[in-house]
Amino acid sequence: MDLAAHQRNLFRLVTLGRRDLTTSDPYIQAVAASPHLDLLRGVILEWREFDVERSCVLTAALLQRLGIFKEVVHDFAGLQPISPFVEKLGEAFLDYASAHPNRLVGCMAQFERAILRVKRGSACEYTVDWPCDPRPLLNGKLAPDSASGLCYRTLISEQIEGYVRLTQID
Amino acid sequence: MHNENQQLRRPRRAPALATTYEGRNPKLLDRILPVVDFIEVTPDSLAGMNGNAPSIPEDKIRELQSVASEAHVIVHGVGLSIGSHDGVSDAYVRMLDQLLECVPARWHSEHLGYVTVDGNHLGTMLAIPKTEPVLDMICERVRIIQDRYSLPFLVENVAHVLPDYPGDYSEAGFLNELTRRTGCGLILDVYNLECDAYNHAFPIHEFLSELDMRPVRELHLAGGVIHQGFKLDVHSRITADSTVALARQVLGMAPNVEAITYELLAEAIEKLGPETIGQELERLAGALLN
Repeated sequence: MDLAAHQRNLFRLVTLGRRDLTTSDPYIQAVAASPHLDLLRGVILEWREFDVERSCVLTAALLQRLGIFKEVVHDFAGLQPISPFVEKLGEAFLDYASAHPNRLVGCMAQFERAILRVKRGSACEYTVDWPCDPRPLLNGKLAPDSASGLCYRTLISEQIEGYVRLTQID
Repeated sequence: MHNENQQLRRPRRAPALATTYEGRNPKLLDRILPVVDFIEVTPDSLAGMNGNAPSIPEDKIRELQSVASEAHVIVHGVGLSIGSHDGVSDAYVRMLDQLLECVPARWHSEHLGYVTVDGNHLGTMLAIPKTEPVLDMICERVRIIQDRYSLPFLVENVAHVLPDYPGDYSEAGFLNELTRRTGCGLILDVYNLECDAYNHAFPIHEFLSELDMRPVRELHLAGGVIHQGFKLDVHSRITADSTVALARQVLGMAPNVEAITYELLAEAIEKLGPETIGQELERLAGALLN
């Protein structure tokens, strides 16, 4: 038994599933056919959900209110090499969610990433522009008040008391 | 490595209780320290990021130094990946170096499995194939670890989520040969045995009768869930009566057990809360230490 080939085959099965499985190794074939593989893959995704919930609190909460939390986390987990360190995984998730097609999700992820970086000692100043007043979103409401058509800017910096300054922009 | 303050701690019962602590939770610490003599810490869970490298924050180091004056600290790793074909994790070794340099520990331990392949994380832990070449590889790595740290090193049996590879050794036979060749100790996770029995019809009693119990220095207990017809090793609940009964049986067979550790995941610590965890430790003390 070639240990490297054995582990690489299992790695592919666990991270990618059965697609593109080419080996004729009877053990790997048996694992691929077993219900345990699906169970394991499902449990891994649940752990990633928990990691994102506890490391990206604001963004996870918004995604849950929008009903797309699992979908976004599962898409992320399918694309990324997973870090075992929750802080690093959270940063990678916020990078991913920052480019989400729903602009509110993107803004929230950028905002949360900036907050976390400043809290961890970053001396940079970060700017996030919102298509609406972000305060209702940050207070747990689903729908922003977009009727006003006003846009807002958040500045995030360790130089600001409470780290955040909100201003209305044209 | 540190050994100061050992004499300041209360005399230990044998065996004594331990539980998981991940730092920065003074309410939990206040509730568990009167009940346990050992605190289990996991470098991977303690770590934050220092740039791109994981390291244990200074405030957690100071907290554990304080904890070590009241209880024995035992270090239990997840990320060493002792069974990876391409070697152990350098990042984990650096965290272990940092922790053991600063905090006096009674022993340290790791799972007999692997979490990375070619440096990429699996997102879970898998069991190693029980073959002769893999045994040789693991023994060599255990010896290197034993030489690096002047502390006892213990290895833990893992739960098999996937069907086991048909190797050269039985589960117990592999552990017997590993401890015989290296002198390392064992952690016997009795909940993992129950998971394997439930999911793969693993013969627990055959395993226990074959296993050399003398190297077993620690037992792990946990509670999990049945999910889609499988018993999951998720350490999220209080322990089932069957797990406690199995632990009692093992205690009757293993003469050198020093610690019985009730293990919890971070999620479970948040959900159960300090009082429930404290009550569970008191229940386990009543059931297993008398």
